[in-house]
Amino acid sequence: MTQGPGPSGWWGPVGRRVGEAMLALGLAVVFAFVVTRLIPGDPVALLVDGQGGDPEFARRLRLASGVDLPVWRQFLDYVWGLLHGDLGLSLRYGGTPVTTLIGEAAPVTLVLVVSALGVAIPVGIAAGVVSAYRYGTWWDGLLTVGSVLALSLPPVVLATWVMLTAVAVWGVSSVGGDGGLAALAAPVLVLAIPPVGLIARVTRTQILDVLGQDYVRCARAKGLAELAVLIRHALPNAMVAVWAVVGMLGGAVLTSTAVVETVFDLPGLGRLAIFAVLARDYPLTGAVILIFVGLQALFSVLVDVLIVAIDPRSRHPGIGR
Amino acid sequence: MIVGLLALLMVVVTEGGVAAETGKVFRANLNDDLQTTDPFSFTSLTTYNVLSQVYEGFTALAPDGRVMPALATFWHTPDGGYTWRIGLRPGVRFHSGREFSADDVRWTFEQLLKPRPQPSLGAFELRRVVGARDVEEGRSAQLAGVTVIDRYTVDVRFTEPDALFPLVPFFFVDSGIVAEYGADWLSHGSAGTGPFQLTNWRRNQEVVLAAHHDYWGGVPSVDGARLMVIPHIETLLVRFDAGGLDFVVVPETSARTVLADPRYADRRLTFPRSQVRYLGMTQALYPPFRDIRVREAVGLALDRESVVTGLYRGAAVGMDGASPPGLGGYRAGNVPPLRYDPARARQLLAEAGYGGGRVLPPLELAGSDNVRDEVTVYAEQLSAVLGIPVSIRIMERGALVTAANKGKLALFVTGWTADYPDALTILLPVWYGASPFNRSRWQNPAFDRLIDEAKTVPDANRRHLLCQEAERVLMSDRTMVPLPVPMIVALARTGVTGVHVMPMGAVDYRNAALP
Repeated sequence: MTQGPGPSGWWGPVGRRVGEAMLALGLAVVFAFVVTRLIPGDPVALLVDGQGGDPEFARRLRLASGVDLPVWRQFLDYVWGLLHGDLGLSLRYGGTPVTTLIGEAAPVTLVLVVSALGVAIPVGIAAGVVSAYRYGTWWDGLLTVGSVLALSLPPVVLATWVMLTAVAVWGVSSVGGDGGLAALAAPVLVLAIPPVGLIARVTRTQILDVLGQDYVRCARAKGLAELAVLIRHALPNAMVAVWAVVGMLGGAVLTSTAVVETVFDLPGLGRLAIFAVLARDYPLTGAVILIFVGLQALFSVLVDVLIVAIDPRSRHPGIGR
Repeated sequence: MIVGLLALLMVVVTEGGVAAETGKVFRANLNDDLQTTDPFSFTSLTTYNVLSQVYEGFTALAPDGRVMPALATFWHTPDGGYTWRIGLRPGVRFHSGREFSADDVRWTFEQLLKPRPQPSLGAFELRRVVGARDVEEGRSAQLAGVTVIDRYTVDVRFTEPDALFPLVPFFFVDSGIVAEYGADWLSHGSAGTGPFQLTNWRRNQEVVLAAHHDYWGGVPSVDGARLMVIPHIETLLVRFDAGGLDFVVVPETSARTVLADPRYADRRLTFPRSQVRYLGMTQALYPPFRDIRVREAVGLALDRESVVTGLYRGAAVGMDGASPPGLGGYRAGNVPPLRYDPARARQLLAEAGYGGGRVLPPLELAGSDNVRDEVTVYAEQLSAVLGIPVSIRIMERGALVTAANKGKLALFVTGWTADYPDALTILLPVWYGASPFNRSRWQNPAFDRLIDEAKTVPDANRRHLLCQEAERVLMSDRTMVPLPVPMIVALARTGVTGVHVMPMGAVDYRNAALP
């Protein structure tokens, strides 16, 4: 007798993933506070462009921004604020609530990341399938080399190259948010290229692994065409590992947005984070770190839930292993 | 699906609307985003530079750095700076169409003093006005020290003399704006008298301005301006090359690249900067610096002209004193020129006891990333003359500023940008004994006495004489070496004329001519 995929089988692994994500967020709260204060430099000195002219004015700014309070007190205020949904006031943006700044920038980054993954997942899987289907041919070689290249190009080089190419092809409107759909395709492309490489590699390896399994041989023996064997039998089983990789890629794509948004002039969280760090804007920097960790955690949980849904083995450790 | 996602991305990126480029719109860059558009609550130079096209003060700067009247037509003090009587320009219109008057001056001052999440420099400049503390602490809504004499005349009284008050770059705001739009007026209206009115700020993206057709100084030659936030140099140059920008102020860290690029030879412009740079020597951290002969030798060891001609291809201004040319109080030849004379430097070192096998202790020269190349050149020159390896420490700007302000650097390259057009803006914060920005902790009672007196002298000529004497005291002590100041490098699209970069960095495009 086998256990059905009832709710009891779901809650264990999903609950564990959610618990782990909450723990990661809790650690991120401490990390975001500590790491921002460890960056050398004085936020007040930078607020007044390293000048200020008068110690009394600098004192007033310190008092207003709270950076002169003991660190333990700053930490307690920070945690208390977080518990009440208050991320504090930005030092860099003249006392604007950090939630306002995040609210303005987050949609840009989120849509960029979702678009990039929306491109990368089907293209990467397709490339991996073709590579496995044409194993040992020049198609396989070409796709393998391409995926290695995609993985190894530094984001800043890739972004600058695509930006220069896009300008040559589409003109100056291809940079920034006012250039139409074609312009926005370029940053999405830059973000999608490395994940395509990784997904293609993992898909190819997993499919080749699955193709050697007994049940695949059985399917072939029944007379199924090779492509049908691959799509119907090998691919679904290979997808568990592919989704696990996609779960990790969410965070990688998210962090790459800092470079891409800067090069392509997009007002998202990544570019905001760069301004915040350079200004030693503790509340804003900490908030962006938290949002990034939170989004990565959310993405991982969603992918884990998906894996639990498609892979019975993950609901019942030990079965099928 | 992908097209749908891109469409969604376009919606979120262009939220607030893409600026409609109708008429002649001047397109330029900002290397950094604004801090805010609130004229009552800003501290950053970028914000000041942009808002200075929207708001105006009593006085303004001419392109050569001289003070010229703006919203004030005259100012005088009958009692040595305890009271300033200021005459206002009649017929000046705010962007709303209302006329600027003495009531707006008082209202602006009172608003500046009200508590805000972040205090502004403007509020700080009012701290000596009679009754300022009462307004700051909420005991009074009215600023007692400001008296409206008539529609175009205002008296401002101080608790102690304020010799420079008319030069402070205040931004006067339309007192009727709150009644018209409510407390959230910043989202709806533009409340200055300047040549441009603010129509939109898309944070992290761009500032959009429209010409003020009732501007008292003449209608701007362009219909508007789009100032785009582009911190990445490659993106900036690509957009300029492709014709997407009319004018570019090149970030200082990339100026040398642009100066060396023949593509830009006929579109390059340079403008002087109201700034000083110097090599600071902290005697408390490096005992040999206590000997004036060692300090003088350091100065003589540096071939500063090679930096002007070699590194900056002539686009830098060499200095011998502590005030930059163009600043009120600057006098050419006030201090003797500092020569490059390695032989004399070695002789001085020998006289100080560092010769015949006795060498100086190791030295480290610190500087921020924007002066990396200069620091390298100076370290090599010092090593060659002093006979010891001088190591280099390149620090991120914020970290360098903090370490320097704490007096923790023995030998460093740093600088100071003028806040207002008077030599005191440099001499007071950088070299006054008790100043926290006196980064080498140099002290000289004679210098401090001269500065204390200059602070209280409203007469510009007399004050400048005191500043010049203070500069001579400072330079005779050889406590620092003035270094060349690179000029502001800009690029103008072919056919774009009439644009000036002011000495403090603001771009003046009111007379811009576009092709």
